[in-house]
Amino acid sequence: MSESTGAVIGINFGQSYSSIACINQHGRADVIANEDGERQLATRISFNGDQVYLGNQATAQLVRNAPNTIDRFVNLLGRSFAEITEDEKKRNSAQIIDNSGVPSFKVLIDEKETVLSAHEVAVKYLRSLFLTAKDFLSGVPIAGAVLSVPQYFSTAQIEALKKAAVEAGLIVLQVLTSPAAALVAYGLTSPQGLGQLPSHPDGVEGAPYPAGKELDRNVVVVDMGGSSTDVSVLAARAGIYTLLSYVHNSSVGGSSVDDVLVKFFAKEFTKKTKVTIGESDKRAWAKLRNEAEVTKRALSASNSAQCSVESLAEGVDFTGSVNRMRLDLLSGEIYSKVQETVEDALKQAGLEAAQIDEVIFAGGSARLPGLYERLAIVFNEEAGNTHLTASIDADQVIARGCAINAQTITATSGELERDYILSLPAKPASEIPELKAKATSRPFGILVPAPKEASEAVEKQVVDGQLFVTLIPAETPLPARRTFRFPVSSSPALLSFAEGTPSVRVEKIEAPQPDPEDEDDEDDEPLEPEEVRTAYVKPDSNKIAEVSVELDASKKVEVEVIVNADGSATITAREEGSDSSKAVVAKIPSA
Amino acid sequence: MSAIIDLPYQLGAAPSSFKPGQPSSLSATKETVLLPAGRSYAAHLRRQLNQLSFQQDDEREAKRIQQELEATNGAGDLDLDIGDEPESQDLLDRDPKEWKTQDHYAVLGLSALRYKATQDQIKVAHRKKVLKHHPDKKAGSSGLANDDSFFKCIAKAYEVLSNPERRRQFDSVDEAIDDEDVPTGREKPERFYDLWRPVFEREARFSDPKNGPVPSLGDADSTREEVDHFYDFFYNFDSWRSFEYLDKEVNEGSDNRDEKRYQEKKNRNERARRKKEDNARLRNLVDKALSVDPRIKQFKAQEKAAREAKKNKGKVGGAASPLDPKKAEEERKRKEEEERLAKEAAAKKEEEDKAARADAKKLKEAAKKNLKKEKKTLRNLITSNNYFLGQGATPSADVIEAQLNELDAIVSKLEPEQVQELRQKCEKVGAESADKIKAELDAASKANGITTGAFA
Ligand SMILES: Nc1ncnc2c1ncn2[C@@H]1O[C@H](COP(=O)(O)OP(=O)(O)OP(=O)(O)O)[C@@H](O)[C@H]1O
Repeated sequence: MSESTGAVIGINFGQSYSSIACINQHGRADVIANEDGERQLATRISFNGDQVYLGNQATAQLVRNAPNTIDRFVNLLGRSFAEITEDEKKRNSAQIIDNSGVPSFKVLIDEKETVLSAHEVAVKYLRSLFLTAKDFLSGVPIAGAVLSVPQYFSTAQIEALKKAAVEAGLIVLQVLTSPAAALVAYGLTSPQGLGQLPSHPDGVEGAPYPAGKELDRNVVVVDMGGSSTDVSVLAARAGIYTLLSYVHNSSVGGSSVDDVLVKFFAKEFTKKTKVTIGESDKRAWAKLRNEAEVTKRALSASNSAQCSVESLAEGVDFTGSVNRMRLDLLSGEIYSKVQETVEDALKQAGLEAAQIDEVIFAGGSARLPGLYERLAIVFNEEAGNTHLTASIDADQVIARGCAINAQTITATSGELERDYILSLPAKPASEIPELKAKATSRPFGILVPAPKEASEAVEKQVVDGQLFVTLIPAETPLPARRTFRFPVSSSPALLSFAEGTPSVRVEKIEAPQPDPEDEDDEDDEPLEPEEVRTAYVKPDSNKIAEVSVELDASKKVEVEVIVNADGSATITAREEGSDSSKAVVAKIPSA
Repeated sequence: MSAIIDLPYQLGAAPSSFKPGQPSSLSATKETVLLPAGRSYAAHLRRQLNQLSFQQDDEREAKRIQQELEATNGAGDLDLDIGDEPESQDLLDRDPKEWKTQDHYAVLGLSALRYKATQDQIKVAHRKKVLKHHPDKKAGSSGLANDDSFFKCIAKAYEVLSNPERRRQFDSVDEAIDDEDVPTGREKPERFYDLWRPVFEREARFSDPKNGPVPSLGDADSTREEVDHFYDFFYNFDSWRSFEYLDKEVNEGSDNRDEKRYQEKKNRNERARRKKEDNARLRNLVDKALSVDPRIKQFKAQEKAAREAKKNKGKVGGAASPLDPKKAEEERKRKEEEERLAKEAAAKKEEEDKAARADAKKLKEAAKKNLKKEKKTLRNLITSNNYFLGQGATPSADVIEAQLNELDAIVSKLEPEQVQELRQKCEKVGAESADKIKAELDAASKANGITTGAFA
């Protein structure tokens, strides 16, 4: 917005890392850097004497000063000590203590033993984020912030987070769940303006979507963070988003990758130097872990990376290197766990991978190239139906989405809408009655004769010589409107509308046998018959409506479908550009 | 005015006997929960809260955009005055798929401004074109409804020009600007400024803003310093010009990774080659300008005159010319020397201040350290004299605590130097008797308002 009203920011307050985004002078969201030039700030605070270290500076303290370093505190907000699992309590930093039921930490601040509640820690940390943003915006007042929370946060947790943010001095416009923020960051399926189609997430050069898939896409958001992985399946319908399923897996995250790397390097160290890192040598392990994480990140940008630790154990230095292939081998099981989480979420949504149009990568660990490659196979990227999207760096998506939504809220032209959004309670969406709406339960479409020169992918969707072209898919919030244009073979043209059942066709294709002459064929594994799965809609035999339109056969037919909130619908068909008085209208009653 | 999606599927013919039947209803709706995020959700709320149908909302929004546009235009902001540029038929007939070769500025009616157009002008120009060429609007007026291809060209143009990075890429290879439009060097020297100014202004567009304002060519009255700075700047020109816009596309549909990689590598090499060529081009251009710059010739002549003057010094008639280069040179040197001295002095002062600060800190630290030592000595005086109870007696815990606490209290009230004095006194009198130490301490307590009386 204009300078007079101030700037807005988005904050991704993660269990492992946090980041802040603001809207730059070109109206785009940017993740900002702190004074050390860092954009991903460890969610960590350390106290040493009268010094306080925040963010990445606190990471080094994990080696020397672990008991006074507070880590992983975001998920403790709004919970009682009794609710915290043993797993969560396990940590190589300040222990969680029970302070009359409030999860807290006991640390030495300026030589004095001090008990800080998770809330107090969060306020301290959020205040530092706020200051970082203020520094960056040098003088422009901050008019509001949108903060992200994981999808599983309860009302108590969301409220606690909001309270901490307000106490830290922020004006909280909204607390938004991470998957919603990820979709907003891309403006996925949201029309760019009046009468315009959405922008492609990869920009103008992006591989075009299959015909008719611009406004309605089934989306999977894979959010792999530090301590957990979240997979959500959403329906994106002309920029309106609903959640179809969600799985939170706290057994796999970026730190699992750190674990395998630490093990790998420890072995290398012993092999090279004959020194074994003692089981109880916490310092050595902490040192190695910090360096391993740096090495891991470097591998997302280049093919190989070094790891060096001065005086790792018994005063002996370590230098090792690792390449991407090795990391992928070591992380194979981790990727499999993520894959299982994805499959679990798909199952809960009642969808197959082939029925997903878009996969969005979020969270720092989603930058791992090996993960992308694995998911490209799961979603058969090559077939061209599912588009994998990572054009915004995965570790920035959520903060940027938050900033964009903050901008949308403050810049909206209507006060009515703005006040409405601002008045929504800080609760999970499913517990807010105002957000309840009706949606279509089955795909609605038009039946056309099997196209003569169609791509293979389209041919596979043909049933009995007819192709079901989805006009309004299932899970479309109502009211909804879509407009399409079709060429015709002759006049009058037949428009035949029906509902259908989403289905998946499975074909087995014999793989070509490897050429025995070809000595240096790299993948010499015996090739199994490949399974090709294609999503299509099987039309009901009963039609919903049939109309015919007379027109100049060199022109096209324009079809507008409006489905109202009560399930009734209006179809308007006419020769493109012709007067609405000449349109053929079919009124479909509600059920 | 919802976006129209073009589908490539041909509809069949209706049989001659066709009669539309009664429509049947859709399956029952289901409950869902909207996520309160994104601009489309805001639009949904706008319709819901104002109880508007899609069409009513479209009309209202179109009106609002129009008003906003008029407000921006009506503000009389000269900067936004982008005028009206007629579109040629060639332009209107363009295929949006060929957007790579499209003149985005011409499409938005900004051919005259090009790289000089501000973001606001681009925004306004886009809105103007959208209003003029929207497919719905056209359908009404011309009946030529099929044609929303130019509308798509507009969208592409805006997509490129509204994104600063993509705009730079396009500006880098903007074909409407001729890099080769450079004077031959054989023109009359008087025309030097008129002919070369636009050339350098054109080149200046590639200067990274972080390098500050680009110096102008100046005129015949420019000082030597200005001229030097000008050529310096252009010889060390830091250009953001880049050539990715000319990348060859990786063969669409080819899933051959090697092929893809090969093409990418080729593109990278091409970009680097073009960049190198461009740098060389600019260098040549600056060389050429320098070689015909009348001012440079003049400066050289002056230098020569100065040398001559020096040679002729002492000879009769070797008087200094009014613009004595030697004097000027001396003046310059003197100034430089002065500046150097001033800088040195400042640096020295800074150094001294720093040293002084460090000293003060050291002194303070030393005093602190000493204080501990003094205190320890005092304590030893107390303990070695068996808490002033006389030989053989066993001091009770209370006595020990009371005396040591009082010592703490005394020390905390005194400045470090005073503690030192106290210690010296105690040591001196201690040579005589233990009780005298006690008396000293008691006196110190009383003098400082301590009333616990452990040494009384
Ligand atoms: N470039 C990178 N390549 C690989 N991993 C990365 C990269 N950048 C960050 N990570 C990893 O991502 C993780 C942090 O992710 P994120 O910032 O999403 O955390 P988070 O949301 O706080 O996670 P959670 O709440 O699950 O703990 C860390 O394990 C970090 O090592």
